[in-house]
Amino acid sequence: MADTLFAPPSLEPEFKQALERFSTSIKTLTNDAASLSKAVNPLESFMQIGQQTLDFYTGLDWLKVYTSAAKPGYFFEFLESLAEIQQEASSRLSNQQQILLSTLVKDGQTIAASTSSSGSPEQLLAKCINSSLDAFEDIKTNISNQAQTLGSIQSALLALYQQSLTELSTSPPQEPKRLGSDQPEVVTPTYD
Amino acid sequence: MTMLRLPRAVLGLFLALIGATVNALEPLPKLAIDVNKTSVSGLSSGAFMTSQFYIAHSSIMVGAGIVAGGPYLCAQSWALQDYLTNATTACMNPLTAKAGPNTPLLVTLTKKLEREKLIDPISNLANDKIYLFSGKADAVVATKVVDQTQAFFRLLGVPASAIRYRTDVNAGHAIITPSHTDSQCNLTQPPFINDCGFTQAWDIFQQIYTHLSPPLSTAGQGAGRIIEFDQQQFIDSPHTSMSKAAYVYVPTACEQGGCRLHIVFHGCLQGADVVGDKYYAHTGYNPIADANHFVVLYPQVKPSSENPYNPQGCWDFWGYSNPVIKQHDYYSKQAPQIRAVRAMVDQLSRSISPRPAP
Repeated sequence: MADTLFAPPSLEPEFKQALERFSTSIKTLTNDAASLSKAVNPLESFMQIGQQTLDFYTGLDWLKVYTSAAKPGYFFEFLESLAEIQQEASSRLSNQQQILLSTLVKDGQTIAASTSSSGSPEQLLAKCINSSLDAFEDIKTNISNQAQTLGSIQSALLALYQQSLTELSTSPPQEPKRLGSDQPEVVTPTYD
Repeated sequence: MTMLRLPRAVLGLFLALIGATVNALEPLPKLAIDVNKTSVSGLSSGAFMTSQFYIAHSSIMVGAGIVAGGPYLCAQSWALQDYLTNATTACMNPLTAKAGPNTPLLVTLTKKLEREKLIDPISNLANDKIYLFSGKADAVVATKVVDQTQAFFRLLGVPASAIRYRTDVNAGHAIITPSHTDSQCNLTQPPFINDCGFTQAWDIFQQIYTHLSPPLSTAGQGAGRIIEFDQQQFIDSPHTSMSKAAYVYVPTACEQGGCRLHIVFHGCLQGADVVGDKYYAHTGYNPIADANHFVVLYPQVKPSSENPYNPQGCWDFWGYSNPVIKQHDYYSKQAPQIRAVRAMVDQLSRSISPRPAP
C-alpha cells in the first residue's frame, strides 16, 4: 500500500525527456555562471593593465603629445578612425538585433503552435517546454554575440586612444603613421 | 576503527595499482629525429601556439604553418586591456583593422624577449618558410588578424618570397581536407575540419620543405604506428590543462631513426578528449609523413572548467597556464606548455634504445 502511495508517477517518455532537458539547461546555466565568475580575476586584470599602462605612459613623449594634439591633421585622422568604429559597431549591432527580432518571432510562433497541437496534456507540456528551451538557447546565443560586439567596441575605442597617443608622441604631424597598413613601422615606445 | 580502516586502505592501494597497470600508457619513444629540421603547424589557438613555439625555439625550426592565427604575443596588443580581453577581441574578430593586433608593439616586445634570451635569436627566421591561411568565411579569427601575422613576420626579417599566404578559399574556421565526410567548406562548426577539396597539411609541408614525395593517399590514417603516450611525464606545472595522453605518429621507416619532426597543435574543442582521433589521424598529416619520413607529434590540451579556466580546451595564448600575477609567461621557452612540448621533442631526438622484448 505504502509502495503504491509513494511510487513516482509514471510519466510519458516525451514529458520525462523534456523535464530532463530543462533540468540539464538549468545546471549548465548555473555551471557556466560559476565558471565565469572563477575565470574573471579582477586583481589579475588590474595588475596586468596597471603594469602595461604604466609602461605605456612612461614611454610616451608627453611634450610632443601636447604640442601635436592641436594639429588639424591628427584631429582629422582621429575622427576618421572614430567614424570607422561607429559605422562597424552600428552595422554589427543592427544585424544582431535583426537576427534577434526574427528569432523571437519564429520562436514565438513555434511556442504558440506547440500549445495548440493535438496530444495528451503531458505531450503538450513537453512540446511547450522544448520549444521554450529552443527559444531560450537562440536568445542566449544572440545575447552572447551582442555582448561580444560590445566588448569589441570597447576594445576598439581603447585601441584608438592608445594609437592616437602613440602617434602624437612619435610622428611628425604631417606624416601620421597608420597601423594596419601593409608595412607597419615600429613607432611604439620601447619597453626597456 | 583504525583496524577497520587499514585493510580498506590497503585494498584501495592495491586497486589503484591494478588500475594504474591497466591504464598505463606507453612512454614516448626515443627516435633519434633530426631535430634541426623541425617544423610546426596548427589551427586557431593551435596556430597561436604554433607562433609561440616556433619563435621561442626558432633555432631548431625550418618553418611554420599558421591556419587562422594571429601574431606572436597578440594578447599584449593593447596596454589598457588585460590579455584575455585582447585575446578575445583584437586577436580574433576586431571591429576594425586598426583595432586588431598592434604589430609594431609586438615586434618591439619580441625583440626585448630576444635580448633577455627568453626566446631564440630572431635571425633564425630569415631562412625559414612560413605558410599562412585565412578562410574567406572565417568569422572567428578574421583575415584582418592573419594579415598582421604576415606583417609581423615581414618586420622580423622574413622575406616576402618565404611566406605563402592563402586567402583564396571560401572556408570557415577549420583545417582543410578533401574528405566528403568532413563539414562543408564555408561552415564553422565542430570538429572544425572542413572539406574544401584539398589537403591543407600537404599545402603546409610543400611550403616548408623542398623535394617532397606526394602521399599515395591523404584519406587514410597512414601505414605507420600511432602511439598514445603518457604526456604527463613532460609536464612540471599544475595549470597547463594538458591531457594525460598525447599522440605521436611514427612511420615504419622512422623506427630506426633519422627522420624529421613536424609538430601539430590542434585548435579549441579539437583535442582527443573532445573529438577522438579525428585530428591526429584524419587531417592528412600521417600519409605525408609516411611518404617523406617524418615523425608527427600531436600534443594535447583538454577542456578545464577551473584551475585553469579553459572550458574549450584551447592552447594558451593569454596566460592561463601560468597564474602567477605579473608573470603570465605563456610565450617564452620557460612557459609551462612550451616547456612540456620541448621536453617531448628532446625525448624524440634522443638516440634509439633497444625496444624491450614483448
